Amino acid sequence: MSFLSLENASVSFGAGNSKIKILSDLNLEVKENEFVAIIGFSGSGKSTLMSLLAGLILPNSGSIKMKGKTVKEPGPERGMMFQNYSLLPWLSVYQNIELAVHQVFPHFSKIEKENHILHYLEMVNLLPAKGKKPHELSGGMKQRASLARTLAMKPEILLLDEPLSALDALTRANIQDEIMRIWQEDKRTVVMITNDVDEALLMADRIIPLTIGPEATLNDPFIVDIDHPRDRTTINANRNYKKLKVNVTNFLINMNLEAKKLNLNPHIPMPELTPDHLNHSRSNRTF
Amino acid sequence: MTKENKIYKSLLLEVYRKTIQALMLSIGFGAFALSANAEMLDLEKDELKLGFIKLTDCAPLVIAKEKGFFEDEGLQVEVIAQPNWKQLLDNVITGELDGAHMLSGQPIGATIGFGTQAHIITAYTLDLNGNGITVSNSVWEQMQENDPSLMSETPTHPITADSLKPVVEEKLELGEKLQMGMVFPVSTHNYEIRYWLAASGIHPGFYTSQDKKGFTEAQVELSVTPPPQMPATLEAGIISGYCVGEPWNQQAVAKGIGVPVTTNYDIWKNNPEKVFGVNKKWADENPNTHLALIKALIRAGKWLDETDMDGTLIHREEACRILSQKNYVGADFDVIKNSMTGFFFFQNTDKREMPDFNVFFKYHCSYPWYSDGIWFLTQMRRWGQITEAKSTQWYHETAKKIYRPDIYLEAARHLLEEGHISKKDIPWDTDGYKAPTNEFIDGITFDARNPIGYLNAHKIGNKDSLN
Amino acid sequence: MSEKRSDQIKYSILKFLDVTGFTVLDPVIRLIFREETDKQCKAIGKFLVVPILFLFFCLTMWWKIAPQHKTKSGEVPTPDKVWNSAKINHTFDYRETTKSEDFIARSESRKEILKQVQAQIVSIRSEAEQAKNQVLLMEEKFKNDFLPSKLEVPNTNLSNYLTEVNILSNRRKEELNVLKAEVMNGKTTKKEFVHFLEEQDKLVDQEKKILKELRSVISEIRSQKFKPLEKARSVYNNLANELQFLKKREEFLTKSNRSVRVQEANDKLQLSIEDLELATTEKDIYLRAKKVIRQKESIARLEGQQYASAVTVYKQIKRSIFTVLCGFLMAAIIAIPLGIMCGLNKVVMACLTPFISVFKPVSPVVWLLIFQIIVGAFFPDPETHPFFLFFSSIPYIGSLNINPALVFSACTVAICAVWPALVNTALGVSSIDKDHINVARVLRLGFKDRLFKIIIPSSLPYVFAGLRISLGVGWMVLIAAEALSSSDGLGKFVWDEYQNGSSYSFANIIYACFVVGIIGFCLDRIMIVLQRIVSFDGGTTSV
Repeated sequence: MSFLSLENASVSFGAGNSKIKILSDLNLEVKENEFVAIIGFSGSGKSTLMSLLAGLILPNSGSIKMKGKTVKEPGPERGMMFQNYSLLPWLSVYQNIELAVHQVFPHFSKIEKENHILHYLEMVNLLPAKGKKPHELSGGMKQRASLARTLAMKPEILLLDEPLSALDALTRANIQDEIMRIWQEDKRTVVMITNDVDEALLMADRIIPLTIGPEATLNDPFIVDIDHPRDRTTINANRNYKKLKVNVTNFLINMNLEAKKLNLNPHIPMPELTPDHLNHSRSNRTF
Repeated sequence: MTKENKIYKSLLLEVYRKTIQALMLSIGFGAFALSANAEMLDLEKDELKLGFIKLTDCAPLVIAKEKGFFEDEGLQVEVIAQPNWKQLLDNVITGELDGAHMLSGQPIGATIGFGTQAHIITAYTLDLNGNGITVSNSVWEQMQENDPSLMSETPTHPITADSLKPVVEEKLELGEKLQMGMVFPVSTHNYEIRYWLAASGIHPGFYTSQDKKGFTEAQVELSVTPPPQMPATLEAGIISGYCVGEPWNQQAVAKGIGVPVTTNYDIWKNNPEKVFGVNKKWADENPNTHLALIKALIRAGKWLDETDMDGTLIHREEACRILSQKNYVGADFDVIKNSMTGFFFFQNTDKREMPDFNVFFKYHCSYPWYSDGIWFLTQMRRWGQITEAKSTQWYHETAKKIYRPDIYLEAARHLLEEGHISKKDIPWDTDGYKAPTNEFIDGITFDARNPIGYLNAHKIGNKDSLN
Repeated sequence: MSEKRSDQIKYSILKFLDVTGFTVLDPVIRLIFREETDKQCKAIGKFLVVPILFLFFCLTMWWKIAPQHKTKSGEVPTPDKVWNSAKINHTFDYRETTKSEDFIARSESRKEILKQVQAQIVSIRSEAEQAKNQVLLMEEKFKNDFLPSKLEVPNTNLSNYLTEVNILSNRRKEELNVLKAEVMNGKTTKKEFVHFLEEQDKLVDQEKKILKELRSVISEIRSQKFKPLEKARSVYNNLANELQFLKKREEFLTKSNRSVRVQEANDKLQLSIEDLELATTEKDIYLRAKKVIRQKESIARLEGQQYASAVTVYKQIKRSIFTVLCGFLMAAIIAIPLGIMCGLNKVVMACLTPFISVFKPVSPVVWLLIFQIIVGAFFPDPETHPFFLFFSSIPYIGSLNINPALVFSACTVAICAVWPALVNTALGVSSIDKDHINVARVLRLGFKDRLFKIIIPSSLPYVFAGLRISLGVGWMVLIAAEALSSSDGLGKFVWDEYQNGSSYSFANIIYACFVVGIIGFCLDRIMIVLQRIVSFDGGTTSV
């Protein structure tokens, strides 16, 4: 049985004529302790998919199940790490994590709580900045703080929504390593959304492309059969890696071309209107 | 002290007071001088708040505080300026103030229910005279044209409204009414300016049950303006004249915006002006405190009117100095001094001696005369503030409900024993009615015993046939 | 190391300036620490020296223009007059405080002070005598030299013109008589006669006009002020006031002094007790015992007495600040929960919107009158109600004495100040970052936690921005309310001054204007600091 699954799930916004289907007929199965990367172009509905997995939005049709149970609301067992950090600006790094820990582990004693928080802060190398407010932190530090908060909830599944997209290359590599290290140390199920093929190949067990929206859906997965731990310096030499990178990239380029073709013949429904000054006969008016 | 106790006490005191009155009336005063009462009064309350309006005739209150007369009675009194007569009365009714400097008409108006209804009593008349009627420069010029004898720098007084009548009529022909100001519907000023106008055949308007402004049939419309705003309102041309107390007539002269044509001394010689009023309920609960207040006020009045061998008022300058303090009247010392020391500027060039312009104690004036109350009642009836005819009996009873010479006399008796006043200072055995007088601007005789007759003697105004 | 220390001090000062909003002084601090001296000097020149020069320029203009502008209600006071009135107010306060102190002064210190006061009285009395003579002298001079010299020309002009007019009018009368005769015997037509009369009327009007002008010149001169006389008067008035004050002090240190009076009462009590001892009959014992009790009670009262001093401007300030804070607190207590409810729930918002839109623009004057009536009806007796007894036992503010006037002023402030805070809170709550809500959802925070840990902290900057506006509005409203209702406070001070109509009233009102302004400024600054403290983004607040 899969750990987390989507069954024919669709999401649309709006109502009536202006109803737009963002995601349609999504089917996904994530196994326990698996690292899945979902890759797609920006604007294809990746964040919506993530919100769907987290339970922040519910599917219009189809269902989402975790360990066989239908998901109806968000919860700490699905630790979501938001794209733009979502740290509470009036709390220090420590307090931000404390808020989560306090909520998830209400039975912790004061010392247990403190140790727990400090453990995760150490894990993301943020101990020196624990008393700082978010606006005093750099982007990478904020991302790490956000990660620490998510991890500290000890979620059964980790949902990472383009966690590294806003970072410069160096910081990015740094945090990638950290996420991998943590995942190694403390095996969890992870679903990560990204737009970076290298990142996906480096980290994931499976890469699932998301087609270009509207009505985006998940395509067949690419299996990344490279053993963990992977080393970014040597992986480039891996044959599998090279082949997969070419395959995935080609797939994405083709998908993009197809989408562009479609766009050459755009079928956008237009209301049947004619400007007044062109049409003098009243009877032809639509309203 | 519990409430029952207080009521019981006040009842006892009532009985006591009645007995004294009866005894005094029957066996005369002297024999009843009790030695037991030479002690300090057993005060129910010793920290009091008294209200006043910024006019020089609040002097007895201010003097009693500043010269320590209140303190001699064991009272600590705060004297607080009030914004207007209505608020002052409201504060007395709600108990925010223990007592106040009031217009003579206010306790009467409140008790009979014209305006705010409350039983207010007075046991002390603060002063006589002290008001003036001022007209704007342009009206004065027109009056001069109508009566060339006014052209002089020192015209002969009294000046009647005869020369004003053509001005009023001219305006009426244009469909306008001359506008004049007075300070309050039940103020002496209202009755005085009405009396002055009516004496010359100008109708100042009736109050009716619908018309609370008193404009019915009016040839001149009188509206309420707070005293301090009078000069400014006159200068702005909103009103053409006003009747008000000091220092607001002298201000008009000093600023050159108007001419006082007459004072209330000419309208009714030695007319009562302000009283010290308290809530009846308060007086019943605090009889000894009330007595102590009246004692201090009598001493203040006497102090204000003290003269030397030549008859010069010796304390007035000091009084002006005190009144000019910003927490009291607050006007300039020199302005207050004019009228308070017995002078009055009718024009810049026309300074007259008016030794009786402000009387605080002379002529037994601080005694609360029933006849004063009856005069005000007749005026209220004359101008329709009392909407229906009343019997003579009613006039006497109402006056007796409000004016309380019994309290005044008891306070005076204490003072006499303590040696603060002499026997001639107080009219010990009067029945509360002044002798009939015709010292009015129109010469009509006022006999308080016959209010209806007096009412009917006037040409303009309501007339009654009841007895 | 020392370098670093001084840097620390510098930055903490700069931070303080930043938080309090006095960034204008920033270059000064940097200059003191010798940081880029050239740049700092330029900044000081631009943002400190120029504004100060401008201020001086305004003051000089005021000084120059004010005396030229005379109204009939008084002269526009110059800055020195306003300064003077500030001093007078201060003196007044000093005198009232001194009197209160004298009233309760005891034995030794009392005698000590009394000696000083008496010495002062002697010296000031002689000075006052001299000043009075000076006034008399100047009055004489005014009457006999100044006025006649100034009036000489206009008076002769007037009398000359009067004689001229007399001659002319006599001549016209003669002409009229001649013409009348001519009309009668037909020499002149009636039409011509009418014309002649018209011409004559015109002439008379013209004469009247000229006469009026001549007279007004004279009255103008008469109302002119004779500077030396004014000065002598003010010197004398000052001395006389001081003398009056000293005499009152003397009285308070002798016969009216509290301890003296208590002593006297004690002596009397002693006599009464002796009397009681001597009493033999049952009735006597009862009466005298009663008397002793009464005297004891009155002594107890006396011992607790304080001088009922006048309300000075400082007391008014204290009172106004207290009232505005009461009103502001009431506004905050109402506005914040309601605002949160509005922000959270659209139905509540829809329910309240009509009230907000209708009541927000209502003038404070209307509210004042409404509250005056309401409070008057519900106000309990302050002498027995437990709340008032409790309140008057609180130090510092206990003496402020809650009365209906204070309550309805505070209510007026509250109702006018409630709207900005309410609207801003609602806005703050409804515009909360969606991510923060998502965090709350993921954490499955309960309603209470969500409210207190996410919603309120996140909307605090808005709430404080609203409260700041509220306090500003409240302060403005309060002064107006106090002026209108004459409830104690700065508004009453202004109103009383207006009513006094003395030569210093105008200056006092301008003085009050500055006092009100400066206090309003301070309140606003306090709110800015609070706002800075709760704003988590470290951003600047508009000043």
